[in-house]
Amino acid sequence: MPTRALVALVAAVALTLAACANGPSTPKPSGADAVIVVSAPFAGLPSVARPIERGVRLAVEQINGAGGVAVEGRRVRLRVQLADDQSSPGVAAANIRHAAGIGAVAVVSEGTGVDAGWQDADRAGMPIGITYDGDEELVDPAGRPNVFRVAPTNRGASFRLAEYLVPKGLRFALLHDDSPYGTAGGRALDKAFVRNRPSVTADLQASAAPGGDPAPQVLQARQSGANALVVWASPPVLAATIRAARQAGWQVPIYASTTGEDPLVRQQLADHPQWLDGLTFVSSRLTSEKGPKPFETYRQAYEKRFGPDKVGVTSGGRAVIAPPDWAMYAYDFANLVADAMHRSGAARASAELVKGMSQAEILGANGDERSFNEKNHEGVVDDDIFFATFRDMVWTPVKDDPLSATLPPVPQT
Amino acid sequence: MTTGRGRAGLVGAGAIVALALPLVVRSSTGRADAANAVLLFVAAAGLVVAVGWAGMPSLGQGGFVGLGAYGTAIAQTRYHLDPLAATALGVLVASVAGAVMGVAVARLRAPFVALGTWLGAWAVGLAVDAFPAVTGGARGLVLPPGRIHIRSLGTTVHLTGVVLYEAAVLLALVTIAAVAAWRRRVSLVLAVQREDAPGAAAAGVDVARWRAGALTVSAVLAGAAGALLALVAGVADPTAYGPLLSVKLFLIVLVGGADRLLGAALGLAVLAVISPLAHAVGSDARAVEPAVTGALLLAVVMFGGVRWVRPTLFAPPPAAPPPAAPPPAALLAWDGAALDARELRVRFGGVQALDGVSLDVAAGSCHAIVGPNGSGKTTLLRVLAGVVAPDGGVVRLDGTDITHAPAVERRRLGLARTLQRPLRATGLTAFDVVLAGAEPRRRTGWWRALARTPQARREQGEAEGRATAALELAGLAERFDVPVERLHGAEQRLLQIAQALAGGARILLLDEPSAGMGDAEGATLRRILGTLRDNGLTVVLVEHDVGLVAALADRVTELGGAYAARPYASGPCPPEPSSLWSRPSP
Repeated sequence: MPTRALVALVAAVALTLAACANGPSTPKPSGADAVIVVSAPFAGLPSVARPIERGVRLAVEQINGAGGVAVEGRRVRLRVQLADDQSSPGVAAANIRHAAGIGAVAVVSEGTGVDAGWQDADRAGMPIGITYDGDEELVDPAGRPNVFRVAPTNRGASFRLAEYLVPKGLRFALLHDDSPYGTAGGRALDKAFVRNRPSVTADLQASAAPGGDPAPQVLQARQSGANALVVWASPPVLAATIRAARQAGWQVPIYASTTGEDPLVRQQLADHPQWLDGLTFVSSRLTSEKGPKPFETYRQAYEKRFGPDKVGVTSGGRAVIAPPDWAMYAYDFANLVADAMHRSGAARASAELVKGMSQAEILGANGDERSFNEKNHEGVVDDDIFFATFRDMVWTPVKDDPLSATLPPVPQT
Repeated sequence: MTTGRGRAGLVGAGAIVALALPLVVRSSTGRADAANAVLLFVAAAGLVVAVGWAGMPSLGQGGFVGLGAYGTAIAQTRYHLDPLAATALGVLVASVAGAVMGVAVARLRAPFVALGTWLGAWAVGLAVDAFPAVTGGARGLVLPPGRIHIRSLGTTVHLTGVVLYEAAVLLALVTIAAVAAWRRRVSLVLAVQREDAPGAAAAGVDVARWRAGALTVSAVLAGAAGALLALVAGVADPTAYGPLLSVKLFLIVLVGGADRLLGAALGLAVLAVISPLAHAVGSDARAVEPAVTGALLLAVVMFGGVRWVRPTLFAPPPAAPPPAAPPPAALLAWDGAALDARELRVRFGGVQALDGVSLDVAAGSCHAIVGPNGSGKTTLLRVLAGVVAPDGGVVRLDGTDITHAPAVERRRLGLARTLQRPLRATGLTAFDVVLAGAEPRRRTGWWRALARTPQARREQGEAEGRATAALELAGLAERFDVPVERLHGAEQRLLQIAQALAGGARILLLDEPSAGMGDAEGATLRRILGTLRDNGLTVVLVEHDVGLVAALADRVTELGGAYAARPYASGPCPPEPSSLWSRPSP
């Protein structure tokens, strides 16, 4: 008997199977629970993933605190399960399949892996909510009936950006990175600026790989004769781009995508806070036409539960707090899922639940109505885009844009 | 210690367990993870061939996996091939890349092989980023739902998680079978060249071709694994095939013992627990994995790499007892060939090593080449063997001009050379080395060895018979299972002669075969060479031993060296040949 080899084989198989059995640590749902899986880059980009998790968790706790979701006469409690997608489409798709396999009622994702996983989710009748990535190709009510989004779209952000910037008469260098977020944003910028192509002096791509340095692209942008830099990139690349420009003494105005307000950007530039001054970014407005009160109510609940989201920098000697606007999208999506469960009478993933999503309607955390229908799976309208500029590590809405000028400042210290 | 039947039973039991796994693992994630683990094993098995057998430290396996994955994904998404055809195309892409890389690095030393393959892996990653329109960029290339329509059965097979898992297991079983089929021959030849490339080349092994073949096979397996990985994931994922995967696969084969599939399985298991362990201690697997991988790699290299683990768990099986030897006469049925050289000139920088040397060696004769140290004797042998290209002159074998024939081709024609130094085939037995020496006589290659065609089986039998007879003739029959490094000097030289005979030598080019031998060993050598000559083999003997030359040589050529008045002189062997080179140099 080949004892040693047999022992080795058994050990190998056992260890491998043990590893195969490893998955998200939460146990399988009990019959009374419905699970919402959050698939996001927890390790790689916590500044993106944590707000999503917290938004979902806050909504779930509030719903459960009110007795759970009313589904056909019974109360169903919700539970959150986390899965790191490692910024990998393959891992994210596997997370989605796992969620479908356990009958989760939804996956909330920043956007990675939706392309590869939505069909499995659709077969299982499981909605997917994207609460970060604005790539327009991700959401298609006709082709992807189970994919929804509550986040500003790239289309909306880029067209509003072009609309805001072109009248300034500047010469723009467009720079995006090669992350999914950056490449999709790059495409959106190209479309937005296509009618004003002569104003674009360079269209550049930087690497989003760890350690990647966008300094060569910044140099190219400068050499192209640009006097404004439009950056659509992941937070580390945006920070590195600002650093490269300012280190080179290039005091060009910089306009950023939604990542401009990411805490990571400020943290990475904390040694030169003045470099951030004047950075203008695009985002979806935090307040509704009803004023700031709904958002403030939500914010208080958020900060009571999780504490304020400290950015890790100071302004005027006081710690800077990030308003939980990105968490708000995940919060709203979780509430939409609960509403869909209630309307469809489905406590688990099912075709009825997906259909129910197209009828779901809630009052969002900022007071806006959030809803989907069969032809619209976007929870944030393209017009709701505003611009803000940094000064001393905090931002305020700009005054030279009609919508932004009407918005009240948001407390950040 | 694992016997052949034991190994077969082990594989059979493992196969049943693996195929039945979906009955136990019910979740799609678990099945996908299991399929991924099996496919990583297949990719690691490729490295067993390249790293463990051929001694080529390939750090490009992740790149080949990526090519298989992307080849498959592109074939499906852009050319709408069905998954089977797309998989074949993905494997083909990886194989071609492997062959090109193999040819490029086959002649390089180990560090440069590592560097070259590492750059190749990076090139794949950069290409994925550089052509997002083709590769899907950072978002990856999403594969359509997999289904294969089988016309003859009028049915469609949907590539569900279970189907893909079973396909992965079948691929692993095919890989195990292939490795087993190659173990008797391919692994042996690769091991001989790995341990002693010049010695293997002298024995007629086309070292560069075998090494290129090893890397190609390695890429084929990686490509197949990559194709299925993409199907399992449903996406060709740019983050999945980066350089870290190459390092992980390299580590997998080193941890468990690079030349054993079981070692790869163990290495895979060790790496597979990193993630759960990291999770258990509250760390993030993604952050921990590269650091642990690097630390393990350092540890394995520091503690002696493959040999750190192998002797404890995976001691190599002893050489199979040689088959019943045919009578040596059968071995010596070959006709000795005639060899002649004209006006050979070789210059090394400022030294004229050979200056118009001519030589006539009659078929079936023994021709001695004598002369003082530095007179060019070894250079002449190297020119005759095709290892050194002459600056001028002609070499003919049985009247055919072979001046420009490479060494491997000359070896195939029967021109065999032994080295002055002992062989460095650590861990291989005498029988292994002599069997590898039979390569020049073989006509079948990797694929027919894999398919075990009748011709391949016949050749294997013949080779083993010749090896056995050659060992017997060299007086080493009782030492067949002794590791080469434990043979003493005289036995090492006889081993090289046996190796040449097993390869069908018609002319033996012997470089000081008696160096370091005592009287008894010298007598044995004299008797063996006499037997060879008497049976018609041609022997060209570079030798200092006057007695040996006098006893064997029909003719003698004396090389005068760079400072001699005459570059050479040939004639019948005088009764006292020492007079030929005892004259003082002018």
